[in-house]
Amino acid sequence: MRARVLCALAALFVGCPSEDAPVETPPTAPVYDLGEPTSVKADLKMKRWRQLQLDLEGALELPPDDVCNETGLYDCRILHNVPLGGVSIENGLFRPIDALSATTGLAVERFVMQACATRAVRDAQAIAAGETPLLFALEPDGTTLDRETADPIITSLYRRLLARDPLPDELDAVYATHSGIVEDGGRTLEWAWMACFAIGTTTEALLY
Amino acid sequence: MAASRRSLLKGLAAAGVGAGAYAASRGRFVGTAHADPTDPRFLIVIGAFGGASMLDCFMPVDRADALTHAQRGTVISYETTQPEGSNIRCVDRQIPRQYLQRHAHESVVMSTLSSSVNHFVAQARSVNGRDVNAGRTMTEAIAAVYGDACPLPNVNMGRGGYSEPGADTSLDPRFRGEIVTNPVTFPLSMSGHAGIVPLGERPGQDPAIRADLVARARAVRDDQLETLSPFAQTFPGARTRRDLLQARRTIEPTLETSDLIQKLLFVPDLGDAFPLNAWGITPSDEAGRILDRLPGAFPANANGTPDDRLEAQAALAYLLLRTGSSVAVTMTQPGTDGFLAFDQSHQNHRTAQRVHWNRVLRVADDLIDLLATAEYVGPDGPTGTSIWDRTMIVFATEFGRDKWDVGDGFGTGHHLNNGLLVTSPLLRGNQTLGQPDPNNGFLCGWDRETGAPTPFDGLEPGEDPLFDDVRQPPSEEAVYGTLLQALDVNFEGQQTLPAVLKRA
Repeated sequence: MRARVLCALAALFVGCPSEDAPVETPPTAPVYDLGEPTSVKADLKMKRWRQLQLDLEGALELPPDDVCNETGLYDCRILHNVPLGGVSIENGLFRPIDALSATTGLAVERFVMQACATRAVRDAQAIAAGETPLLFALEPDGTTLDRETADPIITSLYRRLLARDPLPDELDAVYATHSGIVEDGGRTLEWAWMACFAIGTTTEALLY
Repeated sequence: MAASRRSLLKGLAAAGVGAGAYAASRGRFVGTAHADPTDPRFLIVIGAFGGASMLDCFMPVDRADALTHAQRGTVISYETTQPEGSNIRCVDRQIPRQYLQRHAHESVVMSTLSSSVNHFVAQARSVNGRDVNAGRTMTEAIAAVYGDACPLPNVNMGRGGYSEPGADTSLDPRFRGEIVTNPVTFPLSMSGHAGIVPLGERPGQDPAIRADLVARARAVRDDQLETLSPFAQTFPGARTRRDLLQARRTIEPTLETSDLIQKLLFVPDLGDAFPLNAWGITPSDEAGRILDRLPGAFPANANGTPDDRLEAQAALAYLLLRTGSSVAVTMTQPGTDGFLAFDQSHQNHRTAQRVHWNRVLRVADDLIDLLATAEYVGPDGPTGTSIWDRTMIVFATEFGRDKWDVGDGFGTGHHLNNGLLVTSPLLRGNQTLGQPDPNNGFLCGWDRETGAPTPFDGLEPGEDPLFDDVRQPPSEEAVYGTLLQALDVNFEGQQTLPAVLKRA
C-alpha cells in the first residue's frame, strides 16, 4: 500500500513503469559455501567429572562402578576429581578450579580410554560366547576390516558419544586408522578401542 | 647469555674471588644479584594450617619469667632449652630440640605481624605478601623465574588460602599451582595411556604397542576429526577448546615423555592394595629410600589415601624437585581430622600446638634429609651440590594464638602477633629475630638491618602493645620480599629485611 502511494507520487514527476515493461534482474552474488555458522559467543565449558561419567555410562552402557578404576581399584571419579572440575572438601578445596589444569586432558583420556576398553572387552567376551555384542560387532583378532563392518560401528560410536551421525569424511578418517593399528601390532578389537577413544575425547565430546 | 654467566661464576669460584662465587666450604652459590633461570632455586611452602604459634615452639617465654596477671592468667610459657651451637631457643621437647640440633645453622626464626585473623585471608596473605608483587604468590614468583623448563613448575598440595592462586592476571597459567589432592595417586594422571589396562595377552595390553596405537588415535583425532566436525567449525576460537588443543600439543606430551607417571610414584607395588606391576607401572627407583624416611606415605584404604598425608606430600615434594619437574611446591599440614590442624588450639591450645608442631617439624626434617642427600643435576650435568643447597622451606602460617594461659586445658583464639620459621642454606641462619615479652606474650619486632630486638619497654605488666606500635614485628610484605630476595628473585617495590639475608 505504502509502495503504491510512493509510486503514485513519483508518477506525478516521472511516470510509473507499465505492467508490460521488462523487470530488471537484480545482480546476484556468487554463492559461497560458508560451512557451519560460527558461534559469536563461543563460550564453551568443559564437562566436569560427573557429566563425563554419566555420558560414558550411558553411551557405552556400563555400570557406574565399571567406567574407570585406576589399577582396578581406585575410582577415577575420586582420583581425578579436581582436574576434572570437582571439589575436594577433604582438602579444603571448596570451589572448582576455574581453568584447565595441566593434567585435565590426560585425566580425561584415562577416563575415556578405560571406559572404551571395558566395553571392548565385554563385547569381545560376548562374541566369544556366541552372544550379540552391544557395540563392537567384529572379529576381535582380525587383521582386516571392511566398510560394511566398520561403518555401523563408527556410526554407532558417533551417535552414542556425540549424539549425531558422522560425516562421510569422518567415517573415512576413522576407518583408515585400521591399517595403521594392525601395522603397529594391534588387531581389529584394538582398532575399535582406539576409535572409541578418539571420538570420545574429541573436544566435541568434552565441551558443551 | 646465561651459560656465559655461569661460566664466569665458575671462573670466579676457581679463582676464589668476590661475591657471587662459590662458598668454599659448602660449594654453593651465595649472594647472586639476579636470578638465572638455568641456576634455579627451589621453594617449599609448608602451610601450617590454623595458626602455628611461635610462642609455643621457637620463641617461647621461659616458665620462670612468665607474668601471672590477676585478670588475664599466666603468659603461655614452657620449660625452654637452647641446644648447643644454636642461637634459637625452643620449648624443651624432643622434636623441636632435635630440629634445632640439625637445622639451627640454616634456620631463621623471626617475629611477624599478620594482617588478618580470618583463616583463608591470612593464609593467602602469608604466601602473597598482601599482593605486594602484583598479586603473585611466592611459589608463582619462583615458578615464573625458574620454572620455564619444568613440566609442572608449581605444584600445590595446599588447602584453603594456601592453595589460592595469586591475583596477577598477567602470569602465564603454566606457573599457577597445579592442585594435587592425593600425592599417592597424582602421578597416575601423568599419562593418558600408561597403566590403563592390566598386562595381558592382547596387543593392546602391551604398553609399547598401546603407546603406538594411542599415538595413531590421537593423530586422527587432532589432525582430522577436530577439523572436520561441525562443532569445530562452529567453535573455532572458543577459549576452552583452544586451551585443550594447545595442552595436547605442549604440556601433555611433556608429561608423558618425561615418564612422570613412574618417576613420581613413590609407593611400591603393594600387591592387591596397589597392584602396579600387574598394570605395567614401575615406581620410582627411589621409592625404597623415600619410604625408609616417610613410611606413612603408603596408601591405607581403597581411595589411595595415605596413612599420613603430610608424609605423602613430602614424598611427592621430594620427587618433584628430584626429577626436575618443579621448582615450587606447597604442602599443608592436613591435621588429624583433615581440617583444623593448629586450629585445634581453640579446644586445647597446648596439645594442639605440641602435636602439630611436632608433626610438621618431623616431616620437614625427613624432607630436608632426603633433599640434602640427593645431588642436584643441572642443565650441564651433576653439580657436586645437593638439591637442599638451593632450597628454602617456609613454614607459612596465618597468624598466632592468644597469649594467655587461663588454666584447665585452655583454648585460644586467633592473634595477629606471631613469628615465622624459615629453614634454608640460602639464609643467614642460626638467628632469632625478635623476642617474646614475658609480660604480655607478644613477640617484639627487630631492626631490619641489624636484627636487634625492639622490646616493648615501658608497658605495664599485662598491658598489650598497640598494633600500630612501631616496635611490632615486620608485616607480610617485607617478609615476602625478603624471602624472594634470598632466592634471587627481585620485583619492583620489593621490601627486604637485610638482617635475614646472607651477606655477600
